[in-house]
Amino acid sequence: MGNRELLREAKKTLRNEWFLPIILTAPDKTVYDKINGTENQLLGDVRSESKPFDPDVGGRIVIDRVSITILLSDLARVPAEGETWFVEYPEDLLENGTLKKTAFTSDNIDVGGSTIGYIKVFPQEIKSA
Amino acid sequence: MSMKFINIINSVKTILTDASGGGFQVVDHEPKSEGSKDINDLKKVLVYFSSDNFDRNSGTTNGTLQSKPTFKILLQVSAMGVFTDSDDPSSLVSAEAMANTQWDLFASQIFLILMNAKNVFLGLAVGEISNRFIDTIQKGEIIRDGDDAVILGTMDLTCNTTEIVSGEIATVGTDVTSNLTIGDDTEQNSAVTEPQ
Repeated sequence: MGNRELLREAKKTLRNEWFLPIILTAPDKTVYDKINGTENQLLGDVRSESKPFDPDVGGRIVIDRVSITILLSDLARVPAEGETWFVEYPEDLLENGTLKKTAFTSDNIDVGGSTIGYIKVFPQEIKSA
Repeated sequence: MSMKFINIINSVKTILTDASGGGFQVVDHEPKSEGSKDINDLKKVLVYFSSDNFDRNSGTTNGTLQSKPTFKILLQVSAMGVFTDSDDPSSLVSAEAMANTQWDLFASQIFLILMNAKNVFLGLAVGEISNRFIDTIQKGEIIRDGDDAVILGTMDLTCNTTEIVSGEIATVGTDVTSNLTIGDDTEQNSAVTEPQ
């Protein structure tokens, strides 16, 4: 088995054993909850942290930040520029936790560069009008 | 007797608190740091003394001294995205858009309160201050990589006033004392015992 093959298998192992179930909803209301081309649950690496920011104006601000990293190859459709998506993830970051609905736009996505092969989204809390 | 900037800052706080109508909170110190969740749904304006400039040629040893204090007004806004249809992502107004709109309206509100003709003396007696003016408004960038979108910004409020140096010997301040109680939490073993 070549190194590329080994890396691909390692990524799958990491995803299957560490990532959490997520559900994506596209702007056209299509729900993506399966890995592309399979019947397996769509998974993402969901992490939470409290991150301090030092903005150019005003004092320091501490923000709770969740990031969800998803294998691009798992997605049937990749969020595009200008789109708004919903993403649901287990609120307590446990496999069977209650799903929490959040949203992200193309402004909250980190893709490319060091994240080649992955898409990393920073979802934001939402509420009903 | 204390310096005028203390009276001014208290008066500015009162003006803003009276005008807030519960729509924002007035805080009187510069924060070390603030949690975005503490601001969400409750905009905050922080007023604090920033600097004072004195005209060396305007005063006497015992008498008046012209000064131009500057107060920082920090405006904090944190917002979530708002949707009208929980199944339709396109119905969402993003957190960034919400925060952006809220900050602009907030800054406008604070500016109009402080620059209102009724507040030309910032709530103090006629002659206590003059030329109150908001010299600058600076809006920061949107912090977008968190649960909430956050925008901070500042205003500089300046005025002219006269400090009176009375020549009296300064009064010694009141002692500030506090009691420190060390817990005896046996679970976390935080108790402190006297050395034997």
